[in-house]
Amino acid sequence: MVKAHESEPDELIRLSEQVEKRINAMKIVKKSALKLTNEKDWVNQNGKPYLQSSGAEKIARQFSISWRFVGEPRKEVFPDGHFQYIVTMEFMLGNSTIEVMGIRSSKDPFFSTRYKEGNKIELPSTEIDSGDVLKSAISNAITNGVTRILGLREIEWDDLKQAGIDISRIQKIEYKTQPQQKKQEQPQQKHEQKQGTGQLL
Amino acid sequence: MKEIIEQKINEYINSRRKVIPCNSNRASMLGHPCLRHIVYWRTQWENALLPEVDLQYIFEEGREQEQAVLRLLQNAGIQVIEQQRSFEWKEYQITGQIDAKILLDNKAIPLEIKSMSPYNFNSIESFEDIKKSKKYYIQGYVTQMQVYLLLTNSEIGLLALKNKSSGKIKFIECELDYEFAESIIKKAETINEHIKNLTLPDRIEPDDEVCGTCPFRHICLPERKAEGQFEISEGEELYDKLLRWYELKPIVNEYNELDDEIKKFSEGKNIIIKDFHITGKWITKIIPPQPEKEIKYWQKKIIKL
Repeated sequence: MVKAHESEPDELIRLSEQVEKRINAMKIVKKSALKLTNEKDWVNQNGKPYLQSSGAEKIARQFSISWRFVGEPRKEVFPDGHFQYIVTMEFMLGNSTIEVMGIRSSKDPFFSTRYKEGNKIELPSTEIDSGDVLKSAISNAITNGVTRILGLREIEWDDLKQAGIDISRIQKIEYKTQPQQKKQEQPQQKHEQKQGTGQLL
Repeated sequence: MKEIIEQKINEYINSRRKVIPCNSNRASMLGHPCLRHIVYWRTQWENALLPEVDLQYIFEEGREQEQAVLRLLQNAGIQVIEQQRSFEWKEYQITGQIDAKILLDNKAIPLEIKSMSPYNFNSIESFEDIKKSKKYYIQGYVTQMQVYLLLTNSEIGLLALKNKSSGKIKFIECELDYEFAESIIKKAETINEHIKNLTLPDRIEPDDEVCGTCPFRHICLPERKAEGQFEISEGEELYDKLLRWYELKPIVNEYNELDDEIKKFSEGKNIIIKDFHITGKWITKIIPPQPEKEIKYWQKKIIKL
């Protein structure tokens, strides 16, 4: 009884020390990973910093992260002819392995919207290169995989500034939203567009 | 205002991106280290990813530089003939398009023009340097030149290298190497067999440089195999050494810079300045030619977080 009573606080101390070490390790990893990137590896998407696959690949090299594809990429075609690719990949770091998906849709404004002389042009699905969408789904999976396995989520502008990155030189991507009334008229489109931009991660 | 101009230029460059149908073993691709990549070009060229905009800028610049070199040659009184002439070797499905031929002593010499960064330009002095280049696309110039020599029945060709920064040009003589040429033909035969049998060569060992920019990476789906493993060390002794190293680094740099400046100023002189006396002597050493050897070393990089 006495032994058990004594061992409990010891166990708590050991656990709290482990947690502290883990938190410190994650802070160090985050600092180091961000230092490996530069302004071109990030985009300012609707006011938030998002790592591009170029940055994720640099980080992967320095942190000895491996990856492989799980099965073939899946293409899903919607009734309106638009399509999305779903890619599943496995990421390995030391003894840790995680499975991550990357998704990109041809409806994403990055592929489907162009502006000519101030006018918005919606490209039909047939005008969108499926290879580009697939490549982006893979990039999406790589960025997700690398950031997740290293615990690099929720990066703030201050984190980038502290890593010496000039955030004013980061490219801005802003998707112009439609007027509220139009959004209500097309709830399905609104949902899909939101999903598309979120997938840019 | 500048954004509008830059956007227009980017749009133009973007519109120039294209994939050209590929129905033969092009001289420019036969040197690629991945056989699977070449087979993809032959069988699935329509699925190739368009070059990134940054890469398209490089292609455009390359074309401009090529024209500039040809103009310079002509202005210098050198006769340039057969510009962009195509050749074909049906038996092996090999094709090539030489940049030009130049007439020297009544001989038409095949010419290939490559513009490159100052670093790459300075690292190449001979055809051997190209063969030994660490960059696979520079090594590919060897195959490209050998194919041109084969296709044009020439014993010798010229590679014109242009430094993109200084504008300087150097010429590298390339002789037909029969053994190497034989290996290219065998490679073409292997590719043609794969195409005939609808098979794909195995993937190469994952290579970030080769696979990372491959226009078929979304089809090939290469793995990435990391070497080693990173660790978070708590070694106090190493940390103390790093702190001291970081503290001394700027002083060492300053010392080296000053040492160089003093050396330049005082070379061959005997000077007394206030409480310093700078003297020296010339030392002559005969260094015997060293046999070529491969050395392996660890290049460390320390980043202060």
